[in-house]
Amino acid sequence: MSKLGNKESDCEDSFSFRSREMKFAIADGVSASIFSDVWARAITESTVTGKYNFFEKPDNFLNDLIVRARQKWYRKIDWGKLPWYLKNKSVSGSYTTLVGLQFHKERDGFGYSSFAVGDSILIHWEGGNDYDSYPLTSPEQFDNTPKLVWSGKGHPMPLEFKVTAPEASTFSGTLTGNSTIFLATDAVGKWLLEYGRYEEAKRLMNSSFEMTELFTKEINSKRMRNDDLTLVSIFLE
Amino acid sequence: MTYNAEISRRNPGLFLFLIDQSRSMSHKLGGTLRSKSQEAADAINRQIYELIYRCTKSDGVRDYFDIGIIGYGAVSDTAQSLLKDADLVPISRLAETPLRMERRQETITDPEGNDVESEFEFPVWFEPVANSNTPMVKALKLAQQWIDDWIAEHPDSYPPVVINISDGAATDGDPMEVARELVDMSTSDGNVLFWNCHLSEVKDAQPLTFPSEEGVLPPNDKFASQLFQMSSVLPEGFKRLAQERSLEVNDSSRAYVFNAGLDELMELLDIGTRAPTENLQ
Repeated sequence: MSKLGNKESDCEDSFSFRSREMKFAIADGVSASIFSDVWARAITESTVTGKYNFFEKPDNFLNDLIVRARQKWYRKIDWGKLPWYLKNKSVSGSYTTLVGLQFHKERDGFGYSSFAVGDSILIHWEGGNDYDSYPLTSPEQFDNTPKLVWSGKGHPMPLEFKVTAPEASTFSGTLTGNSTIFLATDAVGKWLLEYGRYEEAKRLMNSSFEMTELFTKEINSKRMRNDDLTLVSIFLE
Repeated sequence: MTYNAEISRRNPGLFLFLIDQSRSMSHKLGGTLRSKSQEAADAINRQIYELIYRCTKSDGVRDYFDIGIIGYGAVSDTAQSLLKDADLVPISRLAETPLRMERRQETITDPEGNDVESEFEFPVWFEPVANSNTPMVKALKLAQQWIDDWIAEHPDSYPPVVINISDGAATDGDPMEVARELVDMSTSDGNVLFWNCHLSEVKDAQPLTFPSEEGVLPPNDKFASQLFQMSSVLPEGFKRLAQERSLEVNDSSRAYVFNAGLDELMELLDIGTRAPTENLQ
């Protein structure tokens, strides 16, 4: 959902998945830069559609992933028609966080591997207070300076502009029958870690109306930061 | 808690720039090759550009702020809006209606890490003028009138920030009373903030940035003291920004620079406009 007071189309978060490859990606476009919504979308799509194996080190594929995403981002923007204020700001490029997640079938269930840049998080919840989260493990670790994935400069710099991939952290695990994996952008991720309302979040996943109502209440009571919010839950049935 | 209101399109903020256009503004700003009027006009145009930059999102410029510019002294005993056919305007309208565009150069880093010169378009909303006397009282009264109307429409917004740039004393009376009335105006989030920047034409003049006591100002300089007394005490958010730039400030520091050169003018404008933009939603 979008930041309260904004239109739904203003949301700069993105989520993509490919069920056949069991790949998922979540990204939080940085609102201080522009076309971050386009960049977040390009990066999540490239993450799940590229032939990358997340069980390998991210260094092996992150550069290629960014090149592909940059192509999508660069071609989506009609540089020649931008008014001066969009033109001048878009030169600086766009920024986003990213979490990529891939499952694979193991003999007794499913294993997963994930990589992340920034403060969008993965929480592996086993019920009650039993959880692991990464790359951030506590609400105090959220600050205003997360690592980010940069699109590289916009026009007049060429499409071929080379971008250095940021360092990504990795995390892996095994799903049990009780496991739920949450992917969350920063504000909702921080709220989950702080208040532990996993059960409720999972229960409301099928009701976007009730979920929106809950998040609105939490924002208005200042327990959750007013921000674009994306929460994904993945579990075995 | 004051000066904490979120700035949104529903609750925008207001920046009002007051600029002295008296004849003495044609003298060079200390340490520069250009006149005070040229440097002041360029600095305000650049600050408006910065504000538009911060309000620009993928869908265009969002109206987080209203902007006004009052010039005083271009015509004897007259204060007036420097924006064409408008007083206070939403920032998106300013973005769409510059007076003219200039082509400027900036340095950007290419993929190989080399610095290359690149041209970009820079908008200009008003031109420098240095012509007559210093009707500061009239400018303050006009500001008061605009702000009164604005607050009636935005009672819960972040309080208006008024930034006055001048090089000399008012020639149309004592500005103290109207300045006091101005800073007594308020929204539910706090009183109007009044910033003053005194420009110096002396090359090596010692600037006094955010002074906290009148005693540090030149003795017997009534104008310097007047501007000090008229200026607001720096609220916490602005103080923090000043401290981040290694400026000495304390709880009594005023939103005031005396004997400003170009650096101090730019710094005052930047700090004066940056704190509210941290409250953007």
